[in-house]
Amino acid sequence: MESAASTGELKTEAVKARSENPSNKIADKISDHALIAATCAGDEAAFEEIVNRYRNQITNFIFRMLNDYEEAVDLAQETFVRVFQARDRYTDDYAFSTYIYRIATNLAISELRKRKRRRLISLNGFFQIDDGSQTEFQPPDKKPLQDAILADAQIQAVVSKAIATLPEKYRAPLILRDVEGKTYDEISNILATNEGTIKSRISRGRNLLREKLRNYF
Amino acid sequence: MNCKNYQAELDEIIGEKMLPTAILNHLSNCPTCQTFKVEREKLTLMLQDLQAVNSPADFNFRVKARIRQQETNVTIKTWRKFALLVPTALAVLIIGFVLVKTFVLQPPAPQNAGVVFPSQIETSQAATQSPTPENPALIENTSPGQSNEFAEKPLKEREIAFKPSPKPRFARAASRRVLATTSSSLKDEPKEIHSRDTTGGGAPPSVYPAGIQNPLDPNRKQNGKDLLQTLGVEIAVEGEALRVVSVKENSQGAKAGLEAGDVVEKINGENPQEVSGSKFTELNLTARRKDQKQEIKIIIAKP
Repeated sequence: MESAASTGELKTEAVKARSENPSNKIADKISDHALIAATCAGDEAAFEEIVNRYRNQITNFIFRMLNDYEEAVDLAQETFVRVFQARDRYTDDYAFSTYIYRIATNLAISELRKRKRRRLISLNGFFQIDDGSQTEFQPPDKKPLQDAILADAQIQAVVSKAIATLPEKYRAPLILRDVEGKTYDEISNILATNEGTIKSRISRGRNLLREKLRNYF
Repeated sequence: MNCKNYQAELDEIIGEKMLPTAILNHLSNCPTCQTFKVEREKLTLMLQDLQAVNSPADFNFRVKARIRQQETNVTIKTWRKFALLVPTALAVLIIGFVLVKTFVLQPPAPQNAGVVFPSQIETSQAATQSPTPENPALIENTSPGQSNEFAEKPLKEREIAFKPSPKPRFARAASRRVLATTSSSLKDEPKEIHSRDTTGGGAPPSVYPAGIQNPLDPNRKQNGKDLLQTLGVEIAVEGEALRVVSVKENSQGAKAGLEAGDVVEKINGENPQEVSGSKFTELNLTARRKDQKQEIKIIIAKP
């Protein structure tokens, strides 16, 4: 009864905040936990607020993992669908961002494994070794790279491809740390791995990436 | 601490403005670690500078649509389960009803067709012969032991005590016995078969319909006329008695003293038309010769 009452209060709080301030400035202050509680109570607007908060972050993260925009958008949507379906089972032991990133990471890794099984030929596949275990990214351009001339977009495309060729276990922590700017603690919670292991994997991932992009240094 | 340790520590705190003094001191003296730091900073910068990808404008709408679709799918799946359950349950009910009607509600199958129960035998015998109290020979000449006890019991008790074997097995056994008798009679060795069958502890329940006797039944009725004719005596039926028409010379009948004109009134104390028993070693004939009764004993020689 207490939980139902508190959920009702939270819902009222979330609805009030949005109705009183259409610009959502106050709504932004409402915690993710409160929004999830309101969603559980049937407030669709609260869930929409959650989607608005995380849609770009999650899409960007999955895109960095897969280097495939369409698939990234699809999996980002699936992430929110899963959050909605599991709203009753959600516990506030961790930050909501940790929770949603974990779902997104699992979906992205599942997709990567699916692709590996299907031996999907992508643009990156031309740069990959068939055995898939030690993938090396070797840009075919043998001309000396000139930083000044190379456009930013091209560099970004090369970096994205280089990230996408990293092994899964290095890719996820590296993106979470260097692209998403998560702390080691958060990353260890998202990936459910020891913090020391995470640090070690990030370091190795950076080394691999530096090797792949050595022509740009 | 060596360079490896410094680099690992540097890797952890790369991007931070304030570095620990120990690392700064090491960096001022170690060009390798300086290069490492520069490369790491550049790499981190490249990664941070990656242009963030935004979700499409209709992202929320698509998420909502997807959620609704999933909910609909769940509902459809639930209904599908019911849609399968209902016809399955109906089919089970119908099959169950048919089975119950076939095996439970119907009267027992006519598995006793062709089997003559003791009560039926009793009834048929009662109809054709004189009743048991009037014809005590029927009881006296039955096999000793169980048959007498059986006969003494009231009719209902007998029916309850009788447990017929399953028909197919019993029918097969009976047919085997008939075949054995036929084949053995061809070899002229009926006694072995008979002795084997009669030592089985009483007569088996009959599988023959009323009016037809089991040829191996030790208590079966035999025609006295046929019995005497096997002894070389020509017989004519005279009411319930048998009249000797002629006697072959040197036949068993002649040796026993039978003469033409004798009227056999009883064989082994029974009506000569129907004599109980199949295994005869001797016959006691009660014969009338010129209005004089006399007992004639015929001992049947074993072949």
